[in-house]
Amino acid sequence: MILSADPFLLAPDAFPPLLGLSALLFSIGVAGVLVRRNPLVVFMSIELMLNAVNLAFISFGRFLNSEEGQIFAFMVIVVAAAEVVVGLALITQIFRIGRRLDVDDLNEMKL
Amino acid sequence: MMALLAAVPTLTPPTGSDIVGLLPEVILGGAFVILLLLDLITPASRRTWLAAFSVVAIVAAFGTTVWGWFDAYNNPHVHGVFFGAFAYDRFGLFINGVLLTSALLVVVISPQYLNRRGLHYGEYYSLILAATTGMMLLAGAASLMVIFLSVELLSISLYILSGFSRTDERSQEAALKYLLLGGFASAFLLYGMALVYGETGHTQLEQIAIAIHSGIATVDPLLLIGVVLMLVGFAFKVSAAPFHMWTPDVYQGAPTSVTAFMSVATKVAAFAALIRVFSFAFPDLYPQWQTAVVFVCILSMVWGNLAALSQTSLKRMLAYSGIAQAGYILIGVASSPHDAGGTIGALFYLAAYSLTNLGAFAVITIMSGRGEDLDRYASIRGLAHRRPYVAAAMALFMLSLAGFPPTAGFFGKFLVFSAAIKSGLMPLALWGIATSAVSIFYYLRVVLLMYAKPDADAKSYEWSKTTVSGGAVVAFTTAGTLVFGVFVTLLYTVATAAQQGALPRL
Amino acid sequence: MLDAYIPILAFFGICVVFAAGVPLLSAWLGPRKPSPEKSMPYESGVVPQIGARQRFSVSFYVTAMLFIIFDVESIFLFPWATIVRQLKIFGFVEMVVFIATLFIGLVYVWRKGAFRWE
Repeated sequence: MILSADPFLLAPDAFPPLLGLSALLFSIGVAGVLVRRNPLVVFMSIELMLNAVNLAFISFGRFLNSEEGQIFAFMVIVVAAAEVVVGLALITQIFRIGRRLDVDDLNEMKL
Repeated sequence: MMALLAAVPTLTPPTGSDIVGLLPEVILGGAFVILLLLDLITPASRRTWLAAFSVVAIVAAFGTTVWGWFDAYNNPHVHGVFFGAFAYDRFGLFINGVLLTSALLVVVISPQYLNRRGLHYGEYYSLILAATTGMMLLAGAASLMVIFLSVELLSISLYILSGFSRTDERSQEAALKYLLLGGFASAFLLYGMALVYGETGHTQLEQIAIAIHSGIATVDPLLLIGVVLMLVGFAFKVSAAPFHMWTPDVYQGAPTSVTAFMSVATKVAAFAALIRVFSFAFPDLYPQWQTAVVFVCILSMVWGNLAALSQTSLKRMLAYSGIAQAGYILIGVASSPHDAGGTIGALFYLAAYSLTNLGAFAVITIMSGRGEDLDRYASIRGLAHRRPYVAAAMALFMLSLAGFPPTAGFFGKFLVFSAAIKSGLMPLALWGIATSAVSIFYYLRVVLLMYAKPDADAKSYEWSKTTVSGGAVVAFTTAGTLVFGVFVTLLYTVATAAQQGALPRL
Repeated sequence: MLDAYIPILAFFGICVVFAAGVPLLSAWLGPRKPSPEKSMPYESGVVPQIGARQRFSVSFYVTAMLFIIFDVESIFLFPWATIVRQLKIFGFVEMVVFIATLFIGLVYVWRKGAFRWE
C-alpha cells in the first residue's frame, strides 16, 4: 500500500477496525429495516446503513490517500437528505389521509 | 498538510466536446428546470401546454442523440468525457433513444389520463423529464459516482410520481413502499461500490477494469462481496427475483401512466448500467459473478411466471410478467462476456420489451374510467366487441410478450437463448424456453377474455373514449412491435453497433 | 508491552468512579424538598402554558424538510471554496449554475406557498 509521511494518513493497523465498525453499523441498519415496523424507524435504519457506507468510503479514501472517497461521502449525504425529505412528505401525507403508521398496515393491495 | 495540498491535481476544465457528449442530458435537464418555472405561470386549464413543451424538449434531445450516434462513431472518445466519468458511446446513445421514445409516448398519453383521474398537475411533466434525465445519465455513466447519482435522480423522481395521486391510499402506500425498499437497495449498491473502490482504488469503471485486469487489485473476498452487493442493488432496480417484492404493489398502486413509464424505462436504464458494469468493467471477474447472475436469472423466470398465473389484475399481472422478462434479459447478461450476442440480444430485448410493454400499459391507460383504473380482468371482458382495434392491439402486445413470431418479442427471446447456447449456458436456455411455455397461459388468458362474449347481466364499464393522442400511441407501439418483428435486421444492426461501441474497452 | 496501557485503564477507572460517584453523592447528601414548581418542566425560566405531549403542526415538518434540503446542499460550497482560485473561471461558472438551480427550486417552493404559515 501507498505509505507516506503525511501525519493525517491512517496507520495501516487503524484500518481494519474502521472497516469492521462500518460493517457492524451496516448490519445493524439491515436488521433494523427487517425487524422494525414503524416507517420512521425503518428510515433511521436506512440512514444508519448509508452512514456506514460513508464511514467505509472515508476510511478507504484515507487509507488509499485518494480524495474520491470523501467526495463520494458528500454525494451520499446530500442524496440521503433528499430521500429523507421525500419520505417524510409521504409519511405526513399518509397520516393526513387517515392511516395508522405501521409498515404491516400498508397492505391495501395484498390479495 | 503540505502533502495534501500538493496532491490536488492541476485541473483542466472540460472542453466543448465534453459538453457535446452530454448534450441530450443537458437539454432534458434544462427543460426540467424551465418546466418548474413554467408551471408557476401556467393557468390550470392550460396544463396541456406543459405536455407540449415536454414533447419539444424530448424531441430535441432525441435529435441530438441521433446526431451523436454518428458523431460518436466518427470521433471515438476512447476514454469517455468529463475526465472519464461519462461514456459518450453508441451503447449509451442506443439506450438514450429507447428511453426518449418511451418518455415521449408516456407524455403523449398522460394529459387525457391525468385529467380523467383528476391529477393534472404541472409537476408531473417536470418529474418525468427529471427521471428520464437520470436514466440517460445512468445509461452513459462510466464512474461509480455518476451511477449512484443518476440512480438516485431517477428513483427519487419515481418515488414522487408513484405517490402522485395524493388522496389515494393505494398510491401513497405504493410510494412509501417503493421509497423504503428503494433506499434499502441503494444502501446495498453503495456498500458494494465502497468495497469495490476500496479494493481497486478507483471509482471510474475504466480504471477499475484496468486495476482488476492487471492484477493491481487482488481478487479477494472483499472485492467479490462488493461485486455481489452491487448486483443486489441493480437487481432491485430491474425488479429481478428475489429482490422484486416491491414490484407488484408499486405497479398496481401508482397511476397507470407512471407505471407504464417506470416499468419500461427504469428497467432499460438499470440494465444498461448493469451490462456496462458487469460485462465491460468486470469481465475479469466473470467466473465469479456468473453464478450469482444465473441464480437471479432462473429465480426471476420461475417466480415471475408462476406468480403471474394467479393474478386477476392486469397491472399486477404485467408486474409479474416484468419480473419474468427481467429474467430473460439476464440470460443475455449472463452470456455476454463469452459471446457478443449476449449483449446484442439484451439490447434488442430491451428495445422490443419497452415498445410492447408500453403499448400494453397504454391500452390500460387510455381505457381508464373516471377517477379509477379499470385494470381488473373482469373489466376487460368482451372488450373486443366494443373496441375492436384497441383489443386487437392489446392481443398483439400479449403475443409479443409471450414470444410468438412474427413479433419483436419473439426475436428478443430467440437472440438471448441462442447467445446462451453459444456460450455454453444450455441450462439457462432450457429454463427460459420452459418458463416461456408457462407464460403463454396467462398472456393468452387476457386475449381470450377480451374476445369472450360479455355476460348479459354484467355491469358495463365506463371506458374512456379513445382520443387521437391515445390512439396514436397505441398505433405507434403496434407498428413498432410488428416492424421490429418482421424487419429484424433494422434493430439488430443498430444493437450490434451499440455493442461494438461500448466503453470501457481494455 | 501491555504496561503502556495501564494509564489508560486507570483513566477509565477514574472516569467510571467519578461519573457514578457524583450522582450518588448528590442523592445521598443533597436536601430534598419537592414542590409543584420544582417538578414542572424547565423551559428556560418561562412557565409552561400547556403539556409537552401534543401533536406538532404539519407546518413544522414542511419547514424542517425545506431547511434540510437547502442546508445540506451548502456542503458543496466548502470544498469548492478551498480551491476556488485553482478552478479559475470554470469553477465559478459551475458554482453559479449550481446556485442558480437551487435558487429556481427556492422560487418554485416559495410561489407554491410552502412558506405560508396558516
